[in-house]
Amino acid sequence: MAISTPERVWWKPVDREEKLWITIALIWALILFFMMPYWHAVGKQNPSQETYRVTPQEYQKRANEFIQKYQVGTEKGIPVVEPPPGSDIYIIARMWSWSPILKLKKGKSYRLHISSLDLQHGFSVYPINMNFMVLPGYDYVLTITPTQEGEYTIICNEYCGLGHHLMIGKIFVES
Amino acid sequence: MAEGKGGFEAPGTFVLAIVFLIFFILFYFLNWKWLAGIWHVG
Amino acid sequence: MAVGELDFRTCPVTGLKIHRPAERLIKINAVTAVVFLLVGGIVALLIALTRWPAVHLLPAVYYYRLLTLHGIAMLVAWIIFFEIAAVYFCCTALLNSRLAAPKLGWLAYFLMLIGAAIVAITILAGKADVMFTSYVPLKASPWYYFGVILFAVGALIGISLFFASVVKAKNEGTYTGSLPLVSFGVAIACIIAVLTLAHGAIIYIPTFLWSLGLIQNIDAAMYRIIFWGFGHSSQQINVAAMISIWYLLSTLTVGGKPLNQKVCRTAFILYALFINIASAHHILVDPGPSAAWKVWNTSYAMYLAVLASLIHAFAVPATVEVALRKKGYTKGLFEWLKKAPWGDPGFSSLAISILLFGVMGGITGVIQGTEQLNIRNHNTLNIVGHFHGTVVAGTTVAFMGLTYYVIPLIFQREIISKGLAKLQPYIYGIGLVLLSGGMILAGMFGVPRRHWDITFAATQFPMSWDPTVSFALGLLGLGGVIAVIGGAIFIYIAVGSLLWGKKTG
Repeated sequence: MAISTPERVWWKPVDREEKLWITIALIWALILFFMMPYWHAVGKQNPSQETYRVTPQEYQKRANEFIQKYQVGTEKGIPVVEPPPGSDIYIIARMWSWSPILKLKKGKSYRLHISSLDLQHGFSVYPINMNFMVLPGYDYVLTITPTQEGEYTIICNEYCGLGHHLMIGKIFVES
Repeated sequence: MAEGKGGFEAPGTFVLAIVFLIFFILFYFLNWKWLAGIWHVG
Repeated sequence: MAVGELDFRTCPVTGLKIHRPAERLIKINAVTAVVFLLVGGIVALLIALTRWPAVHLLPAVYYYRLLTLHGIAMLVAWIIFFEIAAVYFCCTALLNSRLAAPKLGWLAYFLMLIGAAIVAITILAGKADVMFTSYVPLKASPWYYFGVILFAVGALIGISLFFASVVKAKNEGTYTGSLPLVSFGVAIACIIAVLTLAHGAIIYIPTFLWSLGLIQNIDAAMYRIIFWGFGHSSQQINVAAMISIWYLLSTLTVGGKPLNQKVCRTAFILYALFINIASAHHILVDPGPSAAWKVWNTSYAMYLAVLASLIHAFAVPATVEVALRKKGYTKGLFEWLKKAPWGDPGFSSLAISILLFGVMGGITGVIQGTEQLNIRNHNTLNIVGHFHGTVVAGTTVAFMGLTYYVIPLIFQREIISKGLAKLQPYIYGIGLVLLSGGMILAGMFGVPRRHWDITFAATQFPMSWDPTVSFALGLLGLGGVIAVIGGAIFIYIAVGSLLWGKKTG
């Protein structure tokens, strides 16, 4: 019984069936581990390891310089920016907006910086469903390569106050 | 002690566990396939 | 021995010796747990109906406020009050012993109650719209953190009483040899609880001081790492407690006897040793830690905590199968399953808990906790689907199943409405399958958690989603309603049995 003290010696050999199951389970657990380094070696989607400390003021300054340099227009009050492939590109997260709107080229890679000027935010790109955390004080650099053209929406998926559901941004990918 | 299949005490549970594991494996690798479809990021 | 035998009664069904002062504490903690389940359940209905776009019930501010309350009422108050009751049971009745210091038990109870009440009132007053996680620099009123700290101190006293009572029982010789398996599992849950509460102290005390203005700055990334040492480890207390209750129910319902104590106990020890795994996987897509740190700390190369769950998930049903085969249901592979006591709500709860915990909670948990796969899961509704699979369909269902035995054994009342009680686990289970299933499906399309309006109707860029999403969110809403009905039936039966159930013994 599970509710009474066990017999004096309970350290007994495991029977065949349970041993077999434990072996199978252990092999599966090892595969679960192995997939992560494997994907780092051959996969194209890995969380970035590149992070720098940055103050919100400094980050805002860099991002504003970036916007001024490459701005090509405005859409519904948000600057639209078309940076050259391979360059450092910036997105500012704040209560409650993403800025600027990015125009990117399909198949080209960019060094995307994300950081927050105030609270924690969640960088979530729809419809591809790609999610990263955006923290104040940290400049997170994701090297991204858009693989399909189209219009993408950035939403915030970390609760950031009562206007959380108003936080929306855009990325346009052209060929 | 009741005799199970192949000397197993709980053959039914074993079959259920294997079915569970197969489902687990399929869904797990399906998730990798979906991941491979998104933008490259590193 | 100084203890008067008058302090004890013998349970007429199980023959267990019950320490009356412990029994009173078990009762009050269990009843308080159910009160919070009621509060959390009413709130659950309102927020589920808000996430169902066809209904979209609450205004934004109340959605976020009540979502915060739902997390606290369910994940903290309901679960931990019930666990404290279970912990007292396992260190007294199962060891034929007494609670080491019942007065401390009452101190623990009132600290937890006052703490939970302060937190709930602060949230309802609109002073803590910060979600369960209260990620800095989002700031709540100092009362919020103070209430959480009081609750945690109370829980820690309750946990300490468990250890003290086990030592006392051993010294007084009320049991010999090793602890019963169920008490052993609960001991592991208590060890994890101490680690968890230590993380809680490390993060909530500075955050409390910060909210008072005594500390200037709390680093957002550091907060997340330590918070999850508390936030997810506390879920591991639930897992260890739930699995102990699986073994307990396998004995109470079909007279099961664990196949191999060595295997079961080793698997429990794996939980205690490798549970930090669960904490690191919350920061897989955070800036800061390296990939090596993330991969190592979420797996230790072989996912030993997952392995432990796979072992239990085999051992518990195997225990049931062997017990039923002994009763003569030996035909083919599955006669035992067909002839199992499906009309006993304790047994059906056990079966539903094992199945849904494994299939809905376990599989999604491993996937979401894999470094790269987390990119497609982080902060989507998929995560919420996962933990409603584990902590609701797993832990809460197991606790409900146990309640059907606790009422006659501890409260000495017959269960009322037996026919309804038979159906309750199925209604609740179906509701949870739809609820969690809807969340998981919606999350696969990127629908965010904790979000009042995914159509962004009030912004310059209104958004439309894949049609599957509205189907998935419909499932969520419908499942939420059914689950709340199932939960309400449970509360009606539990409370009704206490009030009007026929006295036994």
